Amino acid sequence: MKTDHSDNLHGQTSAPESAGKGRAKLATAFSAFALLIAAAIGAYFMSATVPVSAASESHSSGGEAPKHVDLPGSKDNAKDIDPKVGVDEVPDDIVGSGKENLYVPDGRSVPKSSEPGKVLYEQGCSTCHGVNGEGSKGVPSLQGVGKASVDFYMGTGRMPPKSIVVQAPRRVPLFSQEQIDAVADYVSTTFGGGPEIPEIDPHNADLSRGMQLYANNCAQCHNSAGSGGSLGRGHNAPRVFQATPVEVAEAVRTGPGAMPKFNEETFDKEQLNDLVAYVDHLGDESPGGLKLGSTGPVPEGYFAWFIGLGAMLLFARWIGTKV
Amino acid sequence: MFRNFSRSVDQRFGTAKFANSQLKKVFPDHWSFMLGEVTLYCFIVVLVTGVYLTFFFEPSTREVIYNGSYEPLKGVPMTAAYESAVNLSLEVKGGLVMRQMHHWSALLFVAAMVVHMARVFFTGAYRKPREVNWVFGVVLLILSMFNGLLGYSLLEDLLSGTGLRVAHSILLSIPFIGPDMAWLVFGGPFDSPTLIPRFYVLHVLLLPAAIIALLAVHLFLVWYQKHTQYRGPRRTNNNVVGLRILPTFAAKAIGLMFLVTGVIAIISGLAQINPIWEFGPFNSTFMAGAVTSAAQPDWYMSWLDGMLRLIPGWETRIGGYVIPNYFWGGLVFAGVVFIGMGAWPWIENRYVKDNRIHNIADKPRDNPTRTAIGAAFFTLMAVIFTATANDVLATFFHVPPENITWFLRVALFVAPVIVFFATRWICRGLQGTDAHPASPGPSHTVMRTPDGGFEFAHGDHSHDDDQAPHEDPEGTKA
Amino acid sequence: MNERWIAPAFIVAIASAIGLMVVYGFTSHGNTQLEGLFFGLAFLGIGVAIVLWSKHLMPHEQVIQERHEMESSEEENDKFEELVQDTVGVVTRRKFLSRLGLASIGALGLAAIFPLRSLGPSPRDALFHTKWKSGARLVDHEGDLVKADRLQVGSILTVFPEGERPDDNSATLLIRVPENDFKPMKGTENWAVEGNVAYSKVCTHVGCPVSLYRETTHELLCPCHQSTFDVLDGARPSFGPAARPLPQLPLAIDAEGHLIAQSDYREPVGPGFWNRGHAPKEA
Repeated sequence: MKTDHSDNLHGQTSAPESAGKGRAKLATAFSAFALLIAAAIGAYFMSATVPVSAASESHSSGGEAPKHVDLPGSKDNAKDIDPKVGVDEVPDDIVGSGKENLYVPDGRSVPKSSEPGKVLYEQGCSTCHGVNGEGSKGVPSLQGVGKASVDFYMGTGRMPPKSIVVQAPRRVPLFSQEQIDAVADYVSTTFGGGPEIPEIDPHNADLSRGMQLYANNCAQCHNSAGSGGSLGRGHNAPRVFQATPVEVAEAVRTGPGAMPKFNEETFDKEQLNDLVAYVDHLGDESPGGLKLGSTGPVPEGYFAWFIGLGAMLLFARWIGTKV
Repeated sequence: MFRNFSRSVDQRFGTAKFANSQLKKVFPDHWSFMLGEVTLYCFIVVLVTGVYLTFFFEPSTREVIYNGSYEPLKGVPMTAAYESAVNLSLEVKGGLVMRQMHHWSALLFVAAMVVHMARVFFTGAYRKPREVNWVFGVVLLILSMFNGLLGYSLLEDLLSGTGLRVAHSILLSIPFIGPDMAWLVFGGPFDSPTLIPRFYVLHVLLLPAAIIALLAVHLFLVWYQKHTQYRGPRRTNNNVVGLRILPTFAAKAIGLMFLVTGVIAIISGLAQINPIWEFGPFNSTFMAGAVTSAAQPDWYMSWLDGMLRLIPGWETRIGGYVIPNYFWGGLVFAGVVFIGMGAWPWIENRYVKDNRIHNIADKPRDNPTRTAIGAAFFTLMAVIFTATANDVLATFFHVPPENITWFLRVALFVAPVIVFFATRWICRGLQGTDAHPASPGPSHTVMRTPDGGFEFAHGDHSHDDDQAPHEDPEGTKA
Repeated sequence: MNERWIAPAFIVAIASAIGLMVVYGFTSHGNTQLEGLFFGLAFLGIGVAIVLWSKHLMPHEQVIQERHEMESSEEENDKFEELVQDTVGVVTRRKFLSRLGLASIGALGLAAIFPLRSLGPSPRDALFHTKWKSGARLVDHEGDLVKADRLQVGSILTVFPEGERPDDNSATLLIRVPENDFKPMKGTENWAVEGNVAYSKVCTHVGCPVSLYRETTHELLCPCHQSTFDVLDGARPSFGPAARPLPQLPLAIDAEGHLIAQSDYREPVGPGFWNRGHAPKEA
């Protein structure tokens, strides 16, 4: 029986020439792989920034590539709306630079006019939605949508959108609440009214009834934990707990985007309160720790593999290295 | 004192003789040989935490009204199984960390097993004489996966309930006997009340017993047949070069056990898994017909789910008789994969016709075709796993899930082929070299000789390479 | 890290173990995060200490050990074969008895399978109908009846037959669609009431509740595998793995204006199965 104190018994010795060749192949393969990844990332960002036609919502258009739509107010000629708009007056917290916005409001003041809502509407909304709120190709009509809808879209920063996409994402609103109220008043009185802004009093709400309503009507799209989900064809259900209680209630009543409407016949005022209170509760901390995005077993699986097993393999590797 | 005790044991069992011979055993020392250990330690954690949970869990579909501390569920009708699972999470002190440890370690157990099997595959360590132990490994994988499925189905929450429905439908799809089969396994429809007690017994008794028994045989065979080793100086097909079990190797193994357990415990304290109280009860009048988006099974079952998402809407109909597409995606595909894995040593041997004993493990490059097949298989699986997450990825990357699905439908056929040829090409390039794929340049290993001097190791390994039988010093069996 | 860290690692483990006891013993509900952290650190501390100990303070002597020969010698193999043949010979000498013996064990094995059948009753016609029947009024989750004008266009509601325990198989989606855009399938022209249409909520793929509703395109989406159904076109699948349209529930309206079902579904709801086209005769 022999003993041996060698530092390395694996025989990592060299055969420099052929090793060089092997490494060259490896390098080629890895560069090809890196290029592929780069191309994929590039393609992803291309597809994410190319404006998607709102018209491609029609159900005949499958999951095809987004089409460009020629709108009077698309971003290239956004400045046509009001050449005097000062970009530097845009608050810092607005997503993206002001130049990308379809419309940039003149500060956040209400225009001094007998009809401030009309002025704001015509500057900021009429290019797409029409002077009479009749809508245009791929742009919904505003006739009969009502106050709650205007307040929801503008209050969550979805309108006016940064660019024309299937579904405008939430962002910091461009208008002050005063301005939004003025537009909402104008739209609901001029084009006919829809649901009023709901009054919410979630304090004495019944959370378990809220959970029942949520589970039966909302969880299928927005996820049991409220983290949102995909609806296919470029639509998605946003995460709910970042919205204010009033915004949640407005969304329920008006059914923005692909969401169905739930009027008072479906949920009465009390039920709406319960539901809103439950949604608010969903944003609370969880006893279990990090929520990992609250999207079920998919992130859990990635976490197990990359964090958990990763740590274990590093430990094994550490134990396996020679002193 | 010790001597008296050990004498008295030895007189009855002959322990000293046995221990002296066995504890001197030499074990080859390489970190990749510890993957199986990691798997074992994860399993021990699963087992211990699982036993703790059984003290609190009530496997019954008896309807109860919740009256615990979680506000939104108050007054809600639910099964006793769900109620006790929520209670052990939110009321029992230390219960949640135990439940999360059980769930995380189960995910990690199967993940570690897959990595361990990958190591065995890519190094050809399943070859004669170890084919049977490879088959035991495959069976252990299958048992563990299904035990996991049973385990998360027991809680009767909305998410796992949806999974039960899918599992029931897959059984329904079997030609001729589908409906009877589904009723036999579930004891009725997918929401049958006999289901939970039945799955409970399978989950905590039958399958764990089978896993433990098989694991014992698996480990015994590793011990008895001795571990493979990589090529290296003085290593031949007929010896083992490494550390003795006592003390160093055993200490490292025990240390690894503590480290693995520690990782699981920390993850389980800090990261939430399966918050059943948010999902709500399944099979309750409170929310019949409800569902949550992001409806995926745990990762180890999700390749079957991914296949269900990829197959287009085709259904075979013959005179009113139906074979749905998920029969192929859910059952036939799983069967082909499992049987293919189990039979792999013999499939390979049909082509290489190699009847020698192999105690030297290959480097992956040594057998480019095998390595390429393995890489292609893992690519195929990666595509399917990605498909399982198509809706979650769609939300995350703002891409329509339909596009992802179509892309993956194509990738399912294309990607494995590309990876196969690329891998084989790389392996052939590396063959005959000892370059580590990640090493920066040529390396010279300095070896210390037994008498304390130093020398450069030789680059020529033909004398200890089992690929070259004519050089085999002690003659492998041909 | 070297051997100087062994003692600190053990001390971290001891401190963490004490921490765990404190968290458990001195808080009213415990704290999952701290429990996991302390528990884990205690294990990691011991693990790190043991590994460092083994790496730095234990011998790393590489030992060569011969493998023992697995294979037995030819003589041993011959002897074993002889032994087996002798044993078999003793039994098979009595041909009739040995065959009868085998047959009896086979019969016993077969008989032992029979009790397994008790594990599952026969499905009979369970897969062929739901709890809906002619004249059943539609109710929502809270048991409220549904009038034809309850939903506005673009709204959706899950309904069940009145007087039954709400169950997943009977769950039905009531959707109000624009009447002019709705294209009923042949033979179902009078199944809708004032734009109210009702489809089974059970996916025809593997049976998940289909309930994501894209109101803009009037499409239903299943969250499990993304099967998509076009409500305006008879709920025909337009994407994904589902192969058949969602079955439609024929609706009518009763004298008080409540929505009722004309009958049960006319075909089995949910996933396909072998004898789907051949309903068993009523028992």
